[in-house]
Amino acid sequence: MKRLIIIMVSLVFFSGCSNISAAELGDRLIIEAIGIDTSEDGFEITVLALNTQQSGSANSTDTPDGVAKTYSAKGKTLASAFAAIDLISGQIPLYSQARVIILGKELTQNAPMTALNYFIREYTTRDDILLAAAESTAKQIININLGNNVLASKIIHSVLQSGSFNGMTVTMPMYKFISNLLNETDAAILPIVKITKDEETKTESIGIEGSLLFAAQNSNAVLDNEQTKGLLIANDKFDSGPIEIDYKGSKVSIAVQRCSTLITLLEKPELKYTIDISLSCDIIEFNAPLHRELSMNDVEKLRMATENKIHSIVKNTIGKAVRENKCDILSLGRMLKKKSTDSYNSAIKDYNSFLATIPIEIHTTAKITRMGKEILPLN
Amino acid sequence: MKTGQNTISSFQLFSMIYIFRMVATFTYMLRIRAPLESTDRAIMAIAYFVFSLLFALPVFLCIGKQPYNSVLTLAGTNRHKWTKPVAMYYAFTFIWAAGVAAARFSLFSGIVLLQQENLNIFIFVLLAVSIYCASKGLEPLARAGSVMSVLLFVSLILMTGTVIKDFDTLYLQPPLQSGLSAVIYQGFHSACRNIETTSLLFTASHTKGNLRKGYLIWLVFFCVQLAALFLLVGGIAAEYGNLQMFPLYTLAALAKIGILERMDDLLTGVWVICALLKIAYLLHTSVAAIEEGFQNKYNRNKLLIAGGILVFAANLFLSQNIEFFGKFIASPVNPVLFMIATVVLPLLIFAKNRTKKTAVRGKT
Repeated sequence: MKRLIIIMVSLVFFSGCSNISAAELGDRLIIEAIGIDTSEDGFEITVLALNTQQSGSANSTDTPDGVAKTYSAKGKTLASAFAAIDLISGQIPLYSQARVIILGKELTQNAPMTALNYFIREYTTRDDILLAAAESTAKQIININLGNNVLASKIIHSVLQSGSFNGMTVTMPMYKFISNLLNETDAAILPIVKITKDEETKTESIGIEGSLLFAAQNSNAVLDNEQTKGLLIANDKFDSGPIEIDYKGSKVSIAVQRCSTLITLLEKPELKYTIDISLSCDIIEFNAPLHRELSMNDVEKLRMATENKIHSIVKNTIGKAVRENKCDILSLGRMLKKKSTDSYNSAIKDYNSFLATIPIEIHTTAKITRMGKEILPLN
Repeated sequence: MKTGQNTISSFQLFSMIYIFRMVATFTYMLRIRAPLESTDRAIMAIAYFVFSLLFALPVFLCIGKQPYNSVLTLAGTNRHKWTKPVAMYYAFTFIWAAGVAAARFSLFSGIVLLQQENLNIFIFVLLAVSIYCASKGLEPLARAGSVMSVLLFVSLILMTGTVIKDFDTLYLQPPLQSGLSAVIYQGFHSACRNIETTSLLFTASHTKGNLRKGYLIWLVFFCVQLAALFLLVGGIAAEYGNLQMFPLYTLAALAKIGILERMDDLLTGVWVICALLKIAYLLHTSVAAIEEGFQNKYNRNKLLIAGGILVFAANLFLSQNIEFFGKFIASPVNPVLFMIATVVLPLLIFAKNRTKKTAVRGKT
């Protein structure tokens, strides 16, 4: 009887469940993607949120609302901009479902940390939310029309994660970007997202246009898609992807199936870095007017051509990023600090000069394992 | 309460102490004192190990061999004029430690769990449940603790397994970048928060099994995990982890397996229960000190309620804001309280007991 009374009295305290912060999911603004641009006074936020208040259903004869809606608002700070979004949406924002943050071009040219400071302190935001830079404005990217029942944030998220199989996209979670930005020597990298419009079919799609490098918290250099590939290869982040080679007047497509890279710092006889790249590849296409069988000699030459191609891609990337723009994309500074604090302290005094002059050797080893279904000729 | 119902095994006792220290580790606030670099936080675990062993020596001297002594019944001190003040001092120390634990958890909850809620209600409910758990005695607490220790360990392994792929030794700073003295100082300060060692002075007499062996196994087990966790944070979150108030919570937030993302919510549920058990244990031990010092003069449940009110008051005082809590924890107050309770008083009582025994043998 005593327990029953205690239970019944306890029920009185459940009125706290009607508190505003315990709102139903339908009353929350479930944010899927966030775009941040600069405005005259501060920031302009564009969010893509799930449309939990759809008026029609997909099966009705009425035109249904889309699965997502976008909201834009301005503010002097990000917090005030988000507060302005609460005002127009009438819902409490839920950041924990947001998958991507797109930074507008103008914002990336100033210090991007000013925008990210809000998300570092906001505990509900995922620490591994993906970041990207927009080719123009983040608002355009977030407002992309990919279809009425298509959630653009999912497509953008998938595109940003596609680097593991296309070898051209840098996947950058927020915590890694901030770590690199805060480090004394590392360059921080963001993929550049753009909208591609097909004039014929009048459709839009999301694409990647290289990557943006930041050194000392300012945007410094842009790498194109091929240079981004070189960046991924050099950092052992290139799992697989296609390489094109010109061979005897034809285009050959080589698919890299496995790639591993090891960067070693040697102290003697002189301080230098060596990059050892080993690849396992398949020949997937030989673009010639007539079908052409490949001899062992051809395969060997293609193998050497692949090595040269990879070597040249990585060398070109290092030249553009490290030598020209003084962006440490290979974490050379971190390696030096681990190996020798004295050498590091000496190098950090004029790190730009260190990056411009430090010897970096590239060694590439490629292996052709398959040529498709074709049977190899005996000669 | 019959004594038989309050007897626990060595495994149960150290399982409880394991989860209490792990909860403190997960709610470890990085920026309270001068922060150490990533690798140095792992090296600090060695300093913690050494200091914890040193501080445990007077405790084990006092409790002796099996059947273990309680510090107040050692050589008949329960009729000594100092028994009551000593009992009250220990009760106050345990209540204070419970208050610190409640405040730490309140600040943690306020930042990562219930940003818009009134935390005092949350802590009040937590304390009410802790009082109820403490009223049941040591044995039920120990049973719950041994179950939770397995759950906690399994959740830790799961978390580590999901984040280890992002670990890169390149993100770790070279060792002793913060300086050896800073590492030793932090290790000393952290060891001074190990109030569970002090609680052995009252819990040992209810424990069966080899406590010395159990303590050593627990300390090694815990320090290895402490070092491993700090290395993980350094090798995964790198400089980003240094910005976070609770870096180990950040690690849990990064953990994901399949469609299960943000496993911090799952893990936080385990931590809440562990925090509840910790406060209940400290309340129980503080009441045990008063009961022993005052020879069961007062009603146990009333003592628990009074203890709970004092813990709540301590929590209100300490959890005003993180800056205040940080300054207080970094001050000499806690180390002084701890050293008196764990080193000075046990050594004095042990020395007095030995002097008395020698005098008695001399007379006979």
